[in-house]
Amino acid sequence: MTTTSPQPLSTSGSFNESGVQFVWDSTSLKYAFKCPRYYQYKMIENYRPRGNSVHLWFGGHYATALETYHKLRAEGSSFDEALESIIRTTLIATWDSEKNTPDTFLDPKKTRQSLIRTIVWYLDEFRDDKFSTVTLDSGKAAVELTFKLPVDNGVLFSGHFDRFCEDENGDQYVHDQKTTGQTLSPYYWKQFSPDVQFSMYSFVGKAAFHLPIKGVIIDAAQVAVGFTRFGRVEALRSAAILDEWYDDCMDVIEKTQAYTKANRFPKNTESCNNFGGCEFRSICAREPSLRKNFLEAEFHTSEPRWDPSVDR
Amino acid sequence: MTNPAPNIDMGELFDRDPINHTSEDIRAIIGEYRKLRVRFNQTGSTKPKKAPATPKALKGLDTNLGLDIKL
Repeated sequence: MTTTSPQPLSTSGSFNESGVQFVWDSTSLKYAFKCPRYYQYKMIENYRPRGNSVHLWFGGHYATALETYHKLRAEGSSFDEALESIIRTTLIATWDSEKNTPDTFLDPKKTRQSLIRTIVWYLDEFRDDKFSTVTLDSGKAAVELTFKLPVDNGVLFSGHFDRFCEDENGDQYVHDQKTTGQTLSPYYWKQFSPDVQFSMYSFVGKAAFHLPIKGVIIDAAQVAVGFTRFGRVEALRSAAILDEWYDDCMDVIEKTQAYTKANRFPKNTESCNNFGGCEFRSICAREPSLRKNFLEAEFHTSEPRWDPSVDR
Repeated sequence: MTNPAPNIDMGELFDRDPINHTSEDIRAIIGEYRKLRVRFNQTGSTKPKKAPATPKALKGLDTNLGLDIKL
């Protein structure tokens, strides 16, 4: 199957002169779906927890390694050559050359060694995978794909795909990897349907890349102290489900833009306790006049601020 | 790719600046994790299996009862 890649658009940021967001990626959409106040703290005011997140560190290096592996394989490297290459680059990327020490976090599960173990085990597990990388019209492998898709009301969807893959029947999917400390139980897999990120991926795969995307293949790695266990599910999205998702999505964007214009972001208190509790729960529980001080004490604002219009 | 020689020092490899790692070092790391994966798939653990311990109840038990039984 060959396809046409969408043309990239030039943008100068995700927010207009009034501070209203018009470029939306799945991260900012998730914030808006979750709670307007959460969106305000994360996207508008750019508050982040103090200290680096081991989960972002681990997941980021893992995704980069696997994406690079698929790219190398598509360019003709053998399995062993590609594996050796990504292990070397991951070891280097997780080494602090200024301190001359490995990156270290106080987490017993997600460590530099378990990261390398997880990469090796994952690629050995799926070495003879039935899913292969889709080839685009240009002849390039469909890996590392950045997109900006104009939709309604002056909104752009933006984001990044690691890979499109297809099975022996020609059915095509977005391929995505997750890492978790949780057991890969039915409870774990339920979180992906419905899910903003994977609905967006399926929608954009069809609309921007003109691929008959059936959904997303999710490979999850359960990272434990002494082992990594893998699981895979297909999160399918029918045309009707995507139509509904798109309408919901535009509705949430419109409301969030209105909140931004009015500079008033109501709390969705029903989501405060989801997934172990919102990181801003203690802030929202305070007197309104005291919140700013506690935000400044418990969080920091990192630069540059998250900008969905910036290509990875 | 061949598996590395046994008894490589993984701690030392991970504590050294990887910019100087040789291909043999990288292959040794990969090989070591492959061995652990095989062990995990076989036994459910990456730790080496210990020899089965003698049940406490049998320790010190004199099994020679001195019976002379003819059938």
